[in-house]
Amino acid sequence: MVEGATFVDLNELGQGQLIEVDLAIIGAGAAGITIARALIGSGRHVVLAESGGLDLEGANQSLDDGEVVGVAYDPLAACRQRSFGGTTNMWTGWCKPLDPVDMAPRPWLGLDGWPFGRELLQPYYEQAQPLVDAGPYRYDTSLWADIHAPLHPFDPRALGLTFWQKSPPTRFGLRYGDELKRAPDITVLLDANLVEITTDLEGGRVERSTLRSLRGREAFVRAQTYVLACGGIENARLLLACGRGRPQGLGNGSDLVGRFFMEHPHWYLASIVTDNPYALLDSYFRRTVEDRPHRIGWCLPPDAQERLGTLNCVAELSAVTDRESASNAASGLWHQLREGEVPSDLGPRVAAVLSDLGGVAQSLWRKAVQGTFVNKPVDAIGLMVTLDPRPNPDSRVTLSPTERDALGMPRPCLDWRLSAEDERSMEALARQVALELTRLGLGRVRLHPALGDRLDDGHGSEGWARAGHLRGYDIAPEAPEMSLSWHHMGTTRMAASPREGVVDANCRVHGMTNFFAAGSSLFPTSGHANPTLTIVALALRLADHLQADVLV
Amino acid sequence: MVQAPAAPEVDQTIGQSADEGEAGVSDTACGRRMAFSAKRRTVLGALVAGPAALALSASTASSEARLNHLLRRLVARDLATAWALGRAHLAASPDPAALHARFQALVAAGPRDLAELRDLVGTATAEDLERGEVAVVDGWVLARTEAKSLALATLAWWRVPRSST
Repeated sequence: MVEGATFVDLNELGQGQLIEVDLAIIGAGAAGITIARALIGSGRHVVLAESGGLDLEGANQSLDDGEVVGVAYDPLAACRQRSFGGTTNMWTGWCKPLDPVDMAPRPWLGLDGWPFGRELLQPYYEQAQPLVDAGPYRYDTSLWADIHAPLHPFDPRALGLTFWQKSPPTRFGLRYGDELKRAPDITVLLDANLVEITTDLEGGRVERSTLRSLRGREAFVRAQTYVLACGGIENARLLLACGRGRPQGLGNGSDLVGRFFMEHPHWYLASIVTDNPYALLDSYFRRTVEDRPHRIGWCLPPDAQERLGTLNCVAELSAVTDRESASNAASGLWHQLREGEVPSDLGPRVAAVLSDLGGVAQSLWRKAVQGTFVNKPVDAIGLMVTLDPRPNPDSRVTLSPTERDALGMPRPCLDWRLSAEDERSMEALARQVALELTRLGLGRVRLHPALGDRLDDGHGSEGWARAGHLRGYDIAPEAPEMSLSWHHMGTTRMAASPREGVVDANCRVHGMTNFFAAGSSLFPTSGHANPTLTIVALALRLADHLQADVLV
Repeated sequence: MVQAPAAPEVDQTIGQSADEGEAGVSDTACGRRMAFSAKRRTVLGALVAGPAALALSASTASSEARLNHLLRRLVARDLATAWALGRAHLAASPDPAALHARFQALVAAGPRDLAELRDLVGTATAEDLERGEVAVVDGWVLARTEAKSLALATLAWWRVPRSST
């Protein structure tokens, strides 16, 4: 422990200082903070090491840079965050547990699933829910009773409804920082970057970890147990790069570290035409339940997924409004005037507002009285499909052979891949939603031309998703544009066998006795759900395991 | 081809809705590239006849000619869309037997005016949709009866009596 302080900048320690604790957690994001909190008052001494500071700083953030090959991706330093609280400092707060089918074996896809069933995670999901400041744990169709919107008779064999809840969002660093500061048995080290892990001769036990600040100050942590919790790209990078004297990396006996990288990209695969867009959007776009926003989506039921041989993708509506409408002009004008700004084109904008006072009044009525999410004239409705990615060993994070960061560590190289099954699954869902909306008379649906005019499970344009036309980077009007979710998953996947995964069912790195990993890198499959709630649930489960069976 | 209007703009606040991702990804710009979207009534108008039902001319000689006449009127409001979809269906599903059967069924039903034809097509369309019998034509998901009707109507425009051209 570091005497007399719970938040310490590594630069304030003596060079080469040795810190001895029961548990060292590397990474202070959702997983790391959750585990540390769970151990408050346990009598165990814990050090929680964070690469960044309390606030985002450019020098720290530049450590997140990396190479991108394969399918296009945003700059790696833009889609992660190195500061206390990690990427929770930039998440939007959408929460959703995995579906049972996500974790179960899916023989129709050759997927083995997780080493335990969804039911084992259920109590941890329920504990995680208040930690992200979400409402009551409700993610099933019982929500509809409180949504107070027409529910149309979708064929339950064809489509099922699924729901998200919104966290404020909870910034874990801000939310739990004070609690950790008050905890006498927790030390938070800032500007503390893991640069080396020293193991015993056999490589089965971590003896010591080396932390280094950007100013070159080093400290050593000797712990009974270590947890790596640095995110879906960084966990793999550190396992590959930090093993002293182990060029293949740690936990990499089966060459699995960094493989099976997954994301949740989404595409607009159809547009929906209807005379009454509000009717559709008010039911299925978003709703407020118990003062909290909820998202609604459609999935293929598990039986249909098996029948069609697909993954568990999700489809949602999205409203496209006319930016030139009087309502949009009024909204923009109102926001500017409220900020004390007088737009230079005040006259034309006032004229635009006056051109359709009825539309403006309707928008105000919907927003202020009805509390609807879509208040402006809708020009079109899009159907957005989010991928449940098929785990793919060729989709991977490796170490850059040439690029190094300011600490001298190899930068990550992301080679993200998508598969034919990914495309086929999204197509199947888009077609099924289109069929049901058409059947129920809720709108006319036009599928994206890339999907072709087939209704069976065949492909339209082969490779439309794998082409990776990333929004904002490519000009490919004939292809659907992909947007990213910045969900990095799967690179230290969990499996019972060391031949199939990097960590076991208890999150312990295979072949090592005192080294664990946490976070979305553990997901062997990822469904379509935003990962934070599952990250927190898994961290709570790991904390239970550490207290009950490891830190004894 | 089906009209594709200028790419619509996405409302920023609404657009963020679509996913926003775990880490704040906004997909607002995506909607701007939905060049495959179409105006609300474009396709609806192709099938829903516009003006009041027109009585058949007494000079219409045969029931087939009468049906062709009605089919032409059925899509008169938006010929461009009807032809685009009709031709796409003909090109993608060259099934003369099915098309002929549909035509004969309509002939046998003997619609006397546009209103009756619309009722016939409407009823068959609803039955198709309930059974999930649909076709995808140039991306549009249509009931099979609708697709066939558009194909028949397209053909009907090439069978216009000489005196009418």
